[in-house]
Amino acid sequence: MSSAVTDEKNEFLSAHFQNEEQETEACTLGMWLFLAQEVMFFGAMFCAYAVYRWMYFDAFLAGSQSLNWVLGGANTVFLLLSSFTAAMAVHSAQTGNNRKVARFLWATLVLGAIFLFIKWTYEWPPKIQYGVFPGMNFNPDAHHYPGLAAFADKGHLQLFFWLYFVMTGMHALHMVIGFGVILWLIWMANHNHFGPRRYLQVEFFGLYWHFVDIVWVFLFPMYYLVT
Amino acid sequence: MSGHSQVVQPAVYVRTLLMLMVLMTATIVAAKWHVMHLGIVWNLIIALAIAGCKVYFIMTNFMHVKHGSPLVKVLALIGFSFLVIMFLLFFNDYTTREWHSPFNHAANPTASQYVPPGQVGH
Amino acid sequence: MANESTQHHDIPERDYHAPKSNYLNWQHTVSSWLLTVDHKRIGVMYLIAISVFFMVGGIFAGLFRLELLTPEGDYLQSDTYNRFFTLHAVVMIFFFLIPSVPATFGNFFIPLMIGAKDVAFPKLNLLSWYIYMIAGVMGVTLISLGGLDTGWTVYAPLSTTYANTNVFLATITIFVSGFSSILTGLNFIVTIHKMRAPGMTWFRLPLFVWAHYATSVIQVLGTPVVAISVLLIGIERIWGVGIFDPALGGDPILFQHMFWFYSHPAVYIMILPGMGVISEVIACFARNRVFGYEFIAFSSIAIAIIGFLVWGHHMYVSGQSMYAGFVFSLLTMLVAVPSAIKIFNWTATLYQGNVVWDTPMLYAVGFLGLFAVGGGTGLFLGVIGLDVPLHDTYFVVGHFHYVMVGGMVMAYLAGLHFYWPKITGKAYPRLMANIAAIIIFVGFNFTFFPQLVLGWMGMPRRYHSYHPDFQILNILSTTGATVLGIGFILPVFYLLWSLVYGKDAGSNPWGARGLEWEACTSPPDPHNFHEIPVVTKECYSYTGEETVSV
Repeated sequence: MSSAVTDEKNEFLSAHFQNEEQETEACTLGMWLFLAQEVMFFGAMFCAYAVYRWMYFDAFLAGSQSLNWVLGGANTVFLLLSSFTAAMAVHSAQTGNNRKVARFLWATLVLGAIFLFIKWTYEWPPKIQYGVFPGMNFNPDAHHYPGLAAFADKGHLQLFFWLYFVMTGMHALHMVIGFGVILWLIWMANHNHFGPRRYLQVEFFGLYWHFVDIVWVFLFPMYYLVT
Repeated sequence: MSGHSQVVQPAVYVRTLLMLMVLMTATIVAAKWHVMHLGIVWNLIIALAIAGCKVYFIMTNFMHVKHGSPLVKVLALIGFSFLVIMFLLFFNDYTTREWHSPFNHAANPTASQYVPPGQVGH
Repeated sequence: MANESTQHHDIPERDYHAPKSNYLNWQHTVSSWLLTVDHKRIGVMYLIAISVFFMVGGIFAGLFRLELLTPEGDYLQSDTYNRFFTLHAVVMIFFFLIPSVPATFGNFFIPLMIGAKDVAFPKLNLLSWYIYMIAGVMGVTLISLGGLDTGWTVYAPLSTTYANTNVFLATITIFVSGFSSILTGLNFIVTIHKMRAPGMTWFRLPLFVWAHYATSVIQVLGTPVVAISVLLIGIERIWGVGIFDPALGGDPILFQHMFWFYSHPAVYIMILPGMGVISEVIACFARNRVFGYEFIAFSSIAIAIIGFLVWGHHMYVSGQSMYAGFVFSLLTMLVAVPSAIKIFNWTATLYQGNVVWDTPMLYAVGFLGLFAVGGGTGLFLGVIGLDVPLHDTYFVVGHFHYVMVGGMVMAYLAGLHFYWPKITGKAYPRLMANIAAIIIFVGFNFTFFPQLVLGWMGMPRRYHSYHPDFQILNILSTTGATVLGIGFILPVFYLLWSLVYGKDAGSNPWGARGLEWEACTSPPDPHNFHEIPVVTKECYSYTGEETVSV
């Protein structure tokens, strides 16, 4: 996605656009189209989730109850906060305060990193360690995951965890890509790049980051809060 | 799109953030403290409705759709619209699989013994 | 088909010389091609790459058609045969049909038609070519590592559990090539929305542009779904179990749903741009404004949207609910309406027009007839009751080849012959081209009409051996394929010949209307127009004054 963002403000592009307004509008439209295809990308997985949840609700209930909703809720808070700081970075770019742009972007990066830290330390590794990763070795540990170990229908339970790992994994991948964009934007902010007429890169990063947030807004209740 | 979008004031962002936090609390409370005993269908609907509200606030305020052109508003909705199509046609299949059918011998013991050809080579 | 196709008409024979500096010759280095952001050069690079893949796919088809001469398995056994028809499909669909017209003529002509200097995101355009080439290299690697034997549909659990070929590499190849398609579609939508010249309103756009707009909508909204579906197959393949695994209670039909959610609309990605080309060619050679312009424009959009609602007609016998089948069957009838509207309007354009026979027109008229057969047989298969016996027979193979080869490849060749003078500035030998067009038409029908009959008789598809009763029709089909192959090779020779020995074509050899003909030189200037044109007339003003005042 970064190429959609990086494409403006270079010599050639200003040559083939008629004026700044056309360029802004074209880039905005391109960014929203990119997000529309992202919606379809994640949406297809949500539809698969919906089908299996409808078919095997008991397994999904058991799987969900083994997830730690406190960690999930905390992560939701961090991600919503990072969305807020991303929005503030856009505001700072629009008002031309490059120092604040960099600070808010660092804040976004740190909040996002906390999110991934929680996921990669307290959520995924114990599951992989105690036999909750689907596959040949799927055998939930009775001590750590009593609910899962007691649940008879292991096959459908694995379906739940397949979807869990693929969807949260894709979400995490999108965040990591976002980190790369943040670092690039911070570099630009340190070179005083942004101003009232030159803030689109930050705006588009914001759109992307809010989209990642939206995906989590659905992932959280669908995985952690099945009742 | 009227060129560069309007500058949204930080106060709006703060209000949006607070609103999102309230909604997040609501979704946890609704799911975990069993405030309402409504059954699995209604719990799902409540969870989706709250998520929908959160998405609405994120998109209108954080993503500036409120000040976007009609085209941006269409694009913000088009992905979700096609997902609804996908969802409806998926469930059009899954919810009707067990219905009475000439091929479904469990539901209809008098069904003909006709087996559709062409299953072999897939 | 009229054989007296070489009759002369009112092509203006101007004393014309190609401009000294054009997009082809203003820079010569290799890097000026490989790093270009010029939509015209990218279009030409796509044209070359796509032609190579078309040849590769064609060779596979030729090889298994040869096997089908006799009922027994002679030199291909079932294992090899499965790989050949799968690779034929994968190469033809993902590397030829989907990018064919949009990536070549779409890239080249959309900016010219709407009066823009380039597409909205030129670097993204180049990136999409590189992604396509990376996917192409992966595809060639796949072939050299033994190919794929699951059919192009990679249905689970065959692909995930039982196949012994490189399914993972194949899924990643499809995944990567999808991104090339998404980027092209995204670029076109933004270009058409935001880069139009002054006065180029939506209803002055050539129908080619409308068709590409509809195509792009499908590319952007559909491709991500197939990308994630095949990625899930790939993941399942690596770990041995996964989301569609029946051993876990997973539903393989769910994969079919997700796969066809894209792959049915994908057939409209393949055919809609071809319909755009046909609108241009028929208007030009009937010397007439397209009858019912608005109807054709909106029918493209209607096809793009309704096309998303009909995928279940590929799954009538898959175990999908019969009631879902009813709904999909009804919706399938609905999607035939806009295609029929187009056919009727093109026919009406011919009826009112002053028809001129030339190579592109031969292909376009061939398209009308063959696409009508393809569409009509499609209705047979859309009816749930008739599809059950015909499913997985050669009737299906005949049907979609009438649409894809008889429709899209004919349209592609119509476009190639129509636009060749503009792209290269050279005229090709008309007589040779007309002969090739007729050979292709005849060869095509000899190849695929017997397959419709074979399918009706009950011959199943995807087998290397068959009942001896089917042999005569199979021989006919293979003979036709040989003729068709010769027909496809001829243009390679005379078009390449024309690059060296061809006369300068002139900026508007067909007397066509539109910015790309009236306001551009042949080959076009590196920046397309010396000044951005101002459009004052509707398109296809063949009976009135010129479209443009520069």
